Amino acid sequence: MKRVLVACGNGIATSTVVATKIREKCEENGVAVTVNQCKLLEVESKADDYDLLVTTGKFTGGTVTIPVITAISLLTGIGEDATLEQIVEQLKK
Amino acid sequence: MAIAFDQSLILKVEHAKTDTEVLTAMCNHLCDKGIVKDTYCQAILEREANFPTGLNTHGINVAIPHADVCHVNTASLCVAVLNPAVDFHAMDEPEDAVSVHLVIMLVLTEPHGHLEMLQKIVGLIQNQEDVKKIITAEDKGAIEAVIRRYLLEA
Repeated sequence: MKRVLVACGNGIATSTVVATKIREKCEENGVAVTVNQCKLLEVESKADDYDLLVTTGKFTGGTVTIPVITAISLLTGIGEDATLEQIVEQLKK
Repeated sequence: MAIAFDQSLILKVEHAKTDTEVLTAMCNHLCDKGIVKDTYCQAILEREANFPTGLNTHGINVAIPHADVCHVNTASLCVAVLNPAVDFHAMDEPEDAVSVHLVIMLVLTEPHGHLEMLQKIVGLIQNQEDVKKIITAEDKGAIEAVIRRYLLEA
């Protein structure tokens, strides 16, 4: 089971949309995941427990050792499929 | 949970110069209607300063400001059509400006809640034809019709 942390400004709105799209995409592709949400400010303290960080806003709140994917495309629609593929590929590694 | 929305929550904002001016007008309107608490405006402005919500759609750009649920009395949406467009900061690159024509303020009462509504808003943002209908509409009834189609009938 891979663990994905989705972060946005206050961990309430855009991360909810992104987390849902990631769950759906992973299910379609047979990738078992748990997806949790948090605020960007909480990322640094939580990231160690996860395999992948996905953010909507820009992550500048410190350093993390896990891969980071920016998922603004899941809100704007521009390049959405490519971003979802990228997330699935990263989780299959 | 129901989301309150009607024509009284649609604002046409003309000649605004800054994102702060636009957001303050929207927050004051919501506060006057009792939809949000008087702490809401400051929460929105702080949130926008720290984590901006401008989305560059490569078409008609949209901003989706929102604040913590503790400042809200009634779940609703507030829409502002800006003429001319006003610069917001980009969510993914806060140092970049995004020239925004449409602001959809998400007035949420449940953390992680309202998922369907959020997804529908994102669906609307991604459909530039309908975004164009909103910003070129002559009257608020036409704007309401497009938004209702996404939120209530989709």
